[in-house]
Amino acid sequence: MDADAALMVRVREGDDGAFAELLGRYRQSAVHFAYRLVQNAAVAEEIAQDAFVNIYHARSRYEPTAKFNTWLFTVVTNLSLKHLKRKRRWLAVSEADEAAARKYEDCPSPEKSPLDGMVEREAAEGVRRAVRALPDKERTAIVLHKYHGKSYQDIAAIMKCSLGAVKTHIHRGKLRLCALARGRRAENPPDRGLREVCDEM
Amino acid sequence: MRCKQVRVILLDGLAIPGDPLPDGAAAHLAGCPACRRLQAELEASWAMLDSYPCPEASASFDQAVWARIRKTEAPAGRSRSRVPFFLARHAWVVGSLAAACLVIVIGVLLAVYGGAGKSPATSAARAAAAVPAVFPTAPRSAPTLPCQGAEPAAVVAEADEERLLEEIDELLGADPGSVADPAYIETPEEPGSRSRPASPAGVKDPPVSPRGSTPGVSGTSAARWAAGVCRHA
Repeated sequence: MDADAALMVRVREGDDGAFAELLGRYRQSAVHFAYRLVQNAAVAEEIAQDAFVNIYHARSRYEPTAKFNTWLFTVVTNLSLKHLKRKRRWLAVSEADEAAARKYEDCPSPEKSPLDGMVEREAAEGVRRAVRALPDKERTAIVLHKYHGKSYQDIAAIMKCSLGAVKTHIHRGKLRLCALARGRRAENPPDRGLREVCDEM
Repeated sequence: MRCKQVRVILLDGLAIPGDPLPDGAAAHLAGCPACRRLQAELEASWAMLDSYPCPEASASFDQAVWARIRKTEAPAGRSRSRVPFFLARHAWVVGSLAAACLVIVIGVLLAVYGGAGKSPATSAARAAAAVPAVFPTAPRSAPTLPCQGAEPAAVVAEADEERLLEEIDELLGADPGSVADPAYIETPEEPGSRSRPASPAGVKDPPVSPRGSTPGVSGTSAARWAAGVCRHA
């Protein structure tokens, strides 16, 4: 039994301190994962909190054979995809509003120059657009694979699908990202990037 | 190796950065510019994902989680203590059963108490009991009046009783000529003595009981009386 499973067993037996320890371990991972799927900081934090609350209420059903982080990522994935479906249905927040909100989320670190900050923001915005362009399942598989180092087996367990389906999602996602990056390069050729334009000025 | 196989290896190979490619794939890449270009693009786009900043969790994250846990746990505990599990889970079944029982009870009560007064047997019994009170010695109950034989006794109302009695009194009292001398009725008429006694004092009122039979009433008066009863019946 790994350390997370042992903590979760203690939580099942009524030890809230063990749950606080799990909260400290996986807080950032849950928020980051949700943010990369929904691309909104406030919503991502709410989804991560919901995931922990749901896990706490379902603690009596936990079996030590299951990995705790697989369970957590499964819950976050389900909540995030549910939010994305609801958002698509109602279109509550426009793209412009989200971009305006992200300006404050992506404040560059103070040690960087304004130019570096602008370049960083431009790159981040390009990545965000590329990730947003992916279908939900491909995005989930790519994010789990790329940012959280999950194996194909773990991704299959989290997404509740077969190993072959995970491979297909990841391959298609990579090719789609490749095509998007190619499109970006066509729009902004490397020899005329933001840095060069600024250098000329 | 063919291009398709190498592209699958490239797409999988990115899973573990720095993982060496199989010999056949490396040899193919050395001689295939299209696959080399794809490899470069895949690596670039994969590396592009590194520049994806993420916000940190807020400082009050843990407190918010605990507050939500307490908030969602408290009402559930109260509801568990108030309502039994079966009732909470199958409330619609319990409600339906209760409604069905209520309908059955109301139906039984209506059948026992509500419809009893309207039953024909009871009505007939009440009517039969009421007739002697209306006509304690009424000719209705007497089989001597053929027109009343088939009539139900209940059809005679109390209002008609008074009118009937008035008519009887009128017939018996207001028409003195109709009241015959018993001797005249009972004795056969002698030849030559057809006239009645002229003196009214000779008229003897027959002993008429107020509501009883009328001995001494002439045949014509009795027929009229019976006709009046039939008319009012």
